[in-house]
Amino acid sequence: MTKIDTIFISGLGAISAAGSNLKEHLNTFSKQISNIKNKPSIFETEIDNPVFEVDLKTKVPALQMRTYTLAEIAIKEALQNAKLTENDLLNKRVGVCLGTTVACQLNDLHFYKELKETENADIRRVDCFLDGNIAEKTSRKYKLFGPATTIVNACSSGVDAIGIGMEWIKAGVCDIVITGGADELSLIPYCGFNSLGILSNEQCRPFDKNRKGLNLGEGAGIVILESANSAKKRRVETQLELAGYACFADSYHPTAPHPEGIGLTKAILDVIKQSQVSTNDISFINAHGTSTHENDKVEGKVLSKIFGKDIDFISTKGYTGHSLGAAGGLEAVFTAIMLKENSLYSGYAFTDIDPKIGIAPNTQKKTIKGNIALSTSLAFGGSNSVIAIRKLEGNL
Amino acid sequence: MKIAGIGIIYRGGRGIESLKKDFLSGDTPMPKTEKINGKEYNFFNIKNDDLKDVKLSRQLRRADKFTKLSLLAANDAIKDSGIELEKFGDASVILSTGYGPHSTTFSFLDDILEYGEKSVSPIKFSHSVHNSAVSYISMNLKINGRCLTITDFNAPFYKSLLSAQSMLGNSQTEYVIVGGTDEISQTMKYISAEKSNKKGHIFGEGSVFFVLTNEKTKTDKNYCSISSPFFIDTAEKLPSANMCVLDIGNMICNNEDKIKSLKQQYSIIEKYYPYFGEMASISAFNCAVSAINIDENNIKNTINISPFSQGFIGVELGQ
Repeated sequence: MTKIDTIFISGLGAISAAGSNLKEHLNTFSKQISNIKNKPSIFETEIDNPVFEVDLKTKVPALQMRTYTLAEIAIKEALQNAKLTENDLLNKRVGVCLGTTVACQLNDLHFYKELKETENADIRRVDCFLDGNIAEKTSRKYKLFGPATTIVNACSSGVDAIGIGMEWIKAGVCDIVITGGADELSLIPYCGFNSLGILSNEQCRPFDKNRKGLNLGEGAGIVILESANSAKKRRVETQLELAGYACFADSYHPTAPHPEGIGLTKAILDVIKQSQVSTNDISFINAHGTSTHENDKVEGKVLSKIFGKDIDFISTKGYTGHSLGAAGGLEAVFTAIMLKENSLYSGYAFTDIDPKIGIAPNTQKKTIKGNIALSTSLAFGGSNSVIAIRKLEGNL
Repeated sequence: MKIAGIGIIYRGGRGIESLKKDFLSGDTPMPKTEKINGKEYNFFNIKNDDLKDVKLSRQLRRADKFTKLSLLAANDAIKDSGIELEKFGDASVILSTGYGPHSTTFSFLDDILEYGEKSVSPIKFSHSVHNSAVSYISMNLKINGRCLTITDFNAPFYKSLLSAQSMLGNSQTEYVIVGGTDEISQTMKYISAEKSNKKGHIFGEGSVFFVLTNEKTKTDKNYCSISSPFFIDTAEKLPSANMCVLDIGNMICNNEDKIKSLKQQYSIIEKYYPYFGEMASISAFNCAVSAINIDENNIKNTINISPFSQGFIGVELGQ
């Protein structure tokens, strides 16, 4: 039985280095393929660290941000998946809440260099930025009347966008929210993460004893959220519910997580409470698992402390890299499709347990026991966000 | 929701007393003017002295201008509310902005161009991230609830109020500290000058934060109530009010037809951007003026509106 305030997930869409749609992602997870590249090909750089780059089959239009193109592809798939046409959207209160990091920053190096050198740069180069707030642009494209906002909470932006989208429906502001996250590979964070010393010079190995750091990635993960009323009217064939969202700050350090994972612990416990289940009911956790020493140590310790040593958890960043603002969106989509398929896939490249963590991620595909899973995101600035997704029994 | 505290830093100074004095004087402030690429650029800058704070000097040591503005305004809003800082432990912070800390982003680009990709500053990189200011607020004021940054070119502040309302509505927190910040940089001056298709634009910078709580919560101060934002397609459907405050004043939106339709709806329409300068977060500053006007019984209620391509977004403020 569903309740009147149930928030349904009626559509999913994804694009990353692991695939251009949901089917391709499942194939990549199933065959355990890593599409890592030695270095980026979409921009020139002196830095030689591997990345997960999307093989875009369509050309990014001139003066359009790559991030928006990625979002557009995943939104199209998610709307099709939800059986929603553009006309359907016109008759409903539809909001857009998307997370990003790169697409909100005016960081066009070519423009800036030209401006510094000539004091007369071609302003059209920044038009794609001024036109490119991904939520507002999406809202304009589909002629939507609901709220449109872009969340910039660093690496948890995607999950936060989904949680806020859920709140808009609960508050009665929207019937449907197009939500999730999108981000492109860009030279600026590539240099920035390199300066922080947290980029790996080889394939990332989340939670592994010998992990060396993260690989940057790109993509978009989109979730269509819908009120029970709207889903019922449309007779939507979904069995997925967004059961909870929580976000708590560490108030500790600008870039490092709190060593005891204070904020993450609070967020996990709060989301479990909202979902009206106990820790024993959680089937698996799609962890943030960036493969940096600090993130994985803190996150692993928190998961072990709350759920015990036998908890099933994975990180999909071995397939996608860390796609920053897109990560939370992509991982929400992966969590949902795994629940739907009733299969927990394994992560990639884990071999050795880290004694400082004490627990190991799932290394073989297995059948999921139970019907509720969590997806966690930890961000710069000490923000910790968690969502719970539930597979519902029976039909609407 | 009700407004229980306001902190502001802008051209006219720091604190709501500066704002009150500014409006009482009746003088229209004169912007500075620079010629950029043959085009005039009018702007209001924050005075450097207003960015200094003896008590917060240690916390502000490494912060950039965007973060300083935000931290000072959030700190002042809490102080203005008269509520002890300890009570904000589980509170939430929401910052809305149009362009984020772009001075630091450009400074990071300077590093790449001057020192090479492998020799950039990790501190500059971490400060160039949009949510850096909120993390400073969280760390320095010891606020552990939800910390959120949103960015939009059109009325980001109103959208942050949607989240504030949700959090207060379902009792996730007793207080939400919500505000808007934008800054001016040399590069943004060039972009703005090039993009402005009309004369007379005045660009501004600053930050304003509010302490919001539920109507039922007892507080020393209670400026006024503020509604959750509305999203309406035509002017005829807008609620009535004694005064309409129009949030015009950012370089992206140009909705002349919508502004005309408002003139038929409201007898008094005010615009305050000549005091603050134009910013994507101007609606937050306009709400501060409305709150003070209502608190001082100058007016009973206002409707504050941002037109956008598909309609109107706004809030109602009242006694």
